[in-house]
Amino acid sequence: MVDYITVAIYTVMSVVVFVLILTTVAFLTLAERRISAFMQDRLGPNRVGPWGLFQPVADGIKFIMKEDITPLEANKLLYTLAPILTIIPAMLTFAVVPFGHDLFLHGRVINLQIANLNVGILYVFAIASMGIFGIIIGGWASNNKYSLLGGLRSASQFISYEISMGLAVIGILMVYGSLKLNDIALYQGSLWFNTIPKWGILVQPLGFIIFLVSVFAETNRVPFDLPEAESELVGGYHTEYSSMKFAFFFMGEYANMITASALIATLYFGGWQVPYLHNIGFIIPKFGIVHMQQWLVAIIEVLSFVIKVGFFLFFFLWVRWTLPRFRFDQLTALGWKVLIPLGILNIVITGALIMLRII
Amino acid sequence: MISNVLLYITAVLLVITYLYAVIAGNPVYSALSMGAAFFLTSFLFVLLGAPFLAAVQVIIYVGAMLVMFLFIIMMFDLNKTSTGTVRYKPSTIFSYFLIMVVLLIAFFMAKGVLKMPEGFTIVGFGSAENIGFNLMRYYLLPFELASFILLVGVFGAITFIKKRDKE
Repeated sequence: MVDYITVAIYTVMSVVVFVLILTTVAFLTLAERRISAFMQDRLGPNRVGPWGLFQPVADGIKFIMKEDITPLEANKLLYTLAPILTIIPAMLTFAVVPFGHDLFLHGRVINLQIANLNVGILYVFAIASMGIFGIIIGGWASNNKYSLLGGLRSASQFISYEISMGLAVIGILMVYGSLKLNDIALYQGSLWFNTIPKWGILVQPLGFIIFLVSVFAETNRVPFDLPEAESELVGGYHTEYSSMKFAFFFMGEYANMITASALIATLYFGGWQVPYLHNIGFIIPKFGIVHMQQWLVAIIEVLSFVIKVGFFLFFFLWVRWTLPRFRFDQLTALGWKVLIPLGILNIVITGALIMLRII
Repeated sequence: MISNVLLYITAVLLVITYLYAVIAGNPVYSALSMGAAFFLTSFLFVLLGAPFLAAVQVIIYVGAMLVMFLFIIMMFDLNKTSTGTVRYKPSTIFSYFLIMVVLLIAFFMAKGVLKMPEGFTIVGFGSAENIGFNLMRYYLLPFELASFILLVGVFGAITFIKKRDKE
């Protein structure tokens, strides 16, 4: 028997999340420009609306009105397919990320998560691995040397860093014992020595660093933005792209950043967890219980998740305008010779600590 | 009912995509068609109630193997790629046909042996927990042996590169 109300609730929820991601992407472009301006002691775009808040709208209109150029010798089918292949996986990944625990509404329990899949984190890896094809195909189909080099770089970079990202996540899976992201977030609320919440960053500090570096490489952000290094490759894989096709690549990159931030927050910073907050209110050891309404708890949890994701989005921008770019051989060496051995070491250490019952 | 219809649609699409992967003249089209086929295979696993297999299928075949294929294909001379289809010799097609017949016979022979008892289900069949539990509890030795064979493969690949470096 299909419960139509539940189906309707989750449908509405996925539409809301989809719209929210698109809105965040739009304002992230503005944030990027404003923050970079702040860091370089400039003003940045501040003419359209108050504090330049309508700049994303102006940019959107500009993208739509621009001429859509397809190079003469390009492979038209794949050239058109590439931006679509980039943006769809970027939008799909967020489906398994929990942005709150449960909401009790009229005797109905609503998971604040679009899909609580059994394979959880593996779904993220699977969909993310499809996102790379847009870049590779776009680079190849443009029939441009620089684009091709961007695509090739992207392929090798993605494969290298996907391994270290996977190795870092294995540590988390060993500690929390579940692939479901909601379970991982939930177990991070349990207390260590009855005082400190067992957040991922505390039990997996080395894993966190490996994951953070790998995620920066996977999302093609500075210092690993070699597929589009403008000083070497003009514009990399999107050199030939213009108008909405270019905008799709751009939106895909920012949507990936949002998912990456959400993943960092969920795996290492407790996701929607607020320390000591449970479904009935704050339970503080040796102090007592502060009772709260369940809906209030749910709102606080969602807010906590949003703040964490917001911080990591800022972190992405912060790093971009602070660090210089790696050289490509340094990037490959870092991936294969440093991060992968460290990832394996992390697994061994985690295994030993679990056997000693420390974590 | 719906899942049955989806199953057959997926199966037909699978045959088409794999066939196109073999006959496409442009190697990039060939690789992409194969990617679509891998993805459809994963969808087939989802329909059959094996989510773990589906995710791993996409991660390994689409995420790693296909990226490698594309990486190598893109190094080819771009002007030499044709757009039509590959023409195979009749003898090649005949041998493919023979292999297919052998596989079909094997399938019908195995169908009787491997038949699941009526109404037989496993709780959590195909879930990550179940696969992990079974691999570590009952099939540990074959699992470790398989990983050892893969390790030998890795060493083999590295040795080949070392030899070429000396030359």
